[in-house]
Amino acid sequence: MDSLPLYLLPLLPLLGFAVLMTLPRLLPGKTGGWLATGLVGAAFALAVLRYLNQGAPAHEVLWTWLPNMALNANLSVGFWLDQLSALMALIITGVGFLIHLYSISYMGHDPKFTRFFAFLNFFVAMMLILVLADSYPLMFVGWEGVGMASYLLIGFWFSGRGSGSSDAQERAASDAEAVSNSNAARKAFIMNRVGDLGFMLGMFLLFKLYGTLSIPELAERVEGAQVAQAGIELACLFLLVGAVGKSGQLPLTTWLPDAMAGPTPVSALIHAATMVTAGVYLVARSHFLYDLAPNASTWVAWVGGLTALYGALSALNQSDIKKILAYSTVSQLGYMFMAVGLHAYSAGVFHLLTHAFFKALLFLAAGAVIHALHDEQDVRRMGGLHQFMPFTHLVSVAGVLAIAGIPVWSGFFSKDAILAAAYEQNLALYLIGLGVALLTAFYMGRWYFLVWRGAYRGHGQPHEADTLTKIPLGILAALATLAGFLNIPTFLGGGHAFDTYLGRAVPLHAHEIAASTEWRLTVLAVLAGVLGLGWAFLAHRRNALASGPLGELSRNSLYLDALYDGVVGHPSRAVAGGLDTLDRATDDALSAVGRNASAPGGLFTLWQSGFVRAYAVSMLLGTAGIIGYWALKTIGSGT
Amino acid sequence: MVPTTSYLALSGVLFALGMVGVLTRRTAIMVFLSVELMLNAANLALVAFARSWGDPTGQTAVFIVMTLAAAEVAIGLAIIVAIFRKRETTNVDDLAALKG
Repeated sequence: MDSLPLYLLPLLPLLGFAVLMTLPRLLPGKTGGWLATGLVGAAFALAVLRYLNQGAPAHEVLWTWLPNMALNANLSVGFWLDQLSALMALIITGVGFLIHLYSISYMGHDPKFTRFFAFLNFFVAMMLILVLADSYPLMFVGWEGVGMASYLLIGFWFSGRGSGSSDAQERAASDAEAVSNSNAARKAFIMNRVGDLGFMLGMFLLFKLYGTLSIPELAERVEGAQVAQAGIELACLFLLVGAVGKSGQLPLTTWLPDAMAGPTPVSALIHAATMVTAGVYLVARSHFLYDLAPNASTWVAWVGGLTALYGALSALNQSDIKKILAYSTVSQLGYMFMAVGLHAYSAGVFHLLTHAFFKALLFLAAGAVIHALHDEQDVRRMGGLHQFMPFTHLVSVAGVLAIAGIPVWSGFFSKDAILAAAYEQNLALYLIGLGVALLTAFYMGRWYFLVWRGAYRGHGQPHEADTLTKIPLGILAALATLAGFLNIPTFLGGGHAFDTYLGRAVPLHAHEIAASTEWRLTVLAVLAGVLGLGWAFLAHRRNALASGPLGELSRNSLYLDALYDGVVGHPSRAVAGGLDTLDRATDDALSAVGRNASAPGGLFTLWQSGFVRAYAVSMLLGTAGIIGYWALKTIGSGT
Repeated sequence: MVPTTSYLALSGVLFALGMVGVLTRRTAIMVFLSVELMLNAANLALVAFARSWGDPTGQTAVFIVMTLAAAEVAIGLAIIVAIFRKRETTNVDDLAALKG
C-alpha cells in the first residue's frame, strides 16, 4: 500500500476546497460538511497507511522549479515523510477529522455552512503541505496558506451574526461584533507578516550559506560545511522570528488571544491543536541547524519560558471562556518552545501531541457550553453546568486533569519530560516551568469551577450537546487521558516508546539525571498541579474566583496590547494623520491649478467642432501639406 | 503592357473618389466604405510600383495591408453596430459628443 503517493494527502482536502468553493449549490444542506469531513477522513486513513508502512524516510519529488537555470536553486516541489512529518500528518488529519465532524453540528445553523467547510479543508491541505514539504520554500507556501486560512476563519463572521435581525439593538451589536471580528483577523495577518519576514530572511541566508533550501540536502550539507558560526546563529534567529509569529510567542503573541473571534472549532483546530504549533515544528524540523547554534537555541528556550509565564499570568483573570483557553495555549506553546530550544525535540513534539488532544478537547467542550448557553461566553454567567451537561462535564474534567499535569493523564507525561530537560540544562527555566505548572493548574481549576461547579448564574435552560458533538469529544477525551502512555519514562518502568520512534528523525539527548532525581522532579511537578487545583478549589469555596489574582494587570494581559498600541499604533496613526493633512493640502493646491488652467484651455476646445468630416478635412490638408513640403524639398535638392 | 502611369492614374482617381466620399457622405457605413476605397487605391499604387521596379517588397506590403484591413473592417463594423444600438443613428454629424 505504500504505492499511494504522498501528494494525495494535501490533494484530497484541496479538492474538497475547490468543489465546495465553486459548486456550493450542488451540495445543499449539510452534504458539503459531510463531503469535507469524508475527505479529511480519507486523508487520515492515508496518513495511517503511510505511517504503518513506514521504513526509511520517503522523498517523493513532484517536479522542479526553475530547472537548469544559472541560479541552480534546485527548488524541488516534493514531499518528505519521516517520523516527524508522519506524526504531524497524523495529528493534523486525525484531530482535523474529529473537529470537522464536530463542526457539522456546531455550524449546522450557520448560513455560510458550506463556505466554512471549504475554508477548513483549505486549512488542512495547507497544513499538510507545511509539514510534508521537503524544502523551506514549499514549507513557506503551506505556512502562508495556513495563515490565509486562519485569517479567513478568524474573520468568518466578518459581518456579524445578527446583521439581518429586525431588532435595531441586535443589529448594532452585530455591527460592533463585525468590526471586532475583522480587526482580529487583520491583526493576526499583520502580526504574522512580521514573523514571515523573519522566515524569508532566514531562507535567504540559508541559501547564501549552503546553496540549497532542500531540507534533506541541507541536513547533509551542514555537517561538513565551512560556514561562519555567526551565519548559522543568525539564520536560526531569523527562523525563530518566523516561528514566534506563527506560534504566538513573545513578542508577537497578542494576535492569538484575539483570534478567538473565530468560530470555536476554528479555535480548536487552528489556534490550539495544529497551526500554532507550526513554529515548534519548524524548529524541530530544522534541528540540524539549531544543534549547531547554541546561542539561538538558548533564545528559543527563553522565548518559550517567558511566553509560558506570560500566558499563564494573563490567563489568571480572564472572564471569557475561550480567552482563558487561548492564553493557556500561548502558555503551553511556550513549554514546547522551551523544550525544542533545549534540544529536547522529542519532549517538545510529545507535548505538541498531547496538547493537540487536550486543548482541542477543552475548546470543543467550551464550544458545546457556548452553544448550550446561546452564545454566552462569560464564565461569570455560567456555573453549575455539570447538572445540565453531564457528558460534556466529564470530558472537560479529563481535559483539565490532562493540562494540569495530574498523573495518569497525558499532560503529566509530556510536561514532566520538558521539566526534566529544563532541570538538566537550565535551572532558571526549570523554575519558571514549575511555576507555570502551578499557575496552569490554578487557572484551569478556576475555569473548571466557574463553568461547571457552584450555582448556575445565567439565564435560560442549558441543554446537553447532541450526539454528533459527543463523538469527537469522547474520542478526544480518551486520547487526552491515554496518550501519555505512549511515552512512559524509564524510571516509571516504561520504554520511552515515543522517544524511540521520533529518535529516528530528530536527535535525542540522553537523559543523564539519576532516577531518584527524576522521581523528585515528578513529585514536585505533580505537587504543583495539585496545589494549583487546590488553590482554585479553596478560592471557589470562598466564592472568590470571579475576579482572579493580579486583577487588571492579568485581565489586560500585562498591558502588552496597550504597549504595542502606544509604541507602534499611536505613532503610526499620528504619522498617517499628518500625511493625510499634507495629502489633502497638495490635492487642493493641484485642483486650484487645474481650475485656473481650464480657462485658457477653453479656447482650444473651440477647435473640436465635433464634426467628423471637419476632422477629415483637416487631416487631409495636414497630410497634403506634409507630402507637398517633402515633395518640394526632394525636387529642390534634385535639381 | 499597361504603363505604370495608367495604374497610378487609376489609383489617383480611386483615392480621390474615396476622399470625396469621406468628406461628403454622412452615413458612417458609407464613410467607412470610402476609407476602404482610399486604402485600396494606395494598395494599387504599391502593386504598380512593385511591378515597375521588379521589387516584391511592395507586393508583400500589400498583403500585410490586406490582412490588416480585414481585421480593421471587423472592428470598424462592430463599432458602427455598437454605436447604432446605442444612438439609433449612424449619421456622423450627430455623433458629436466630443464637441468642445
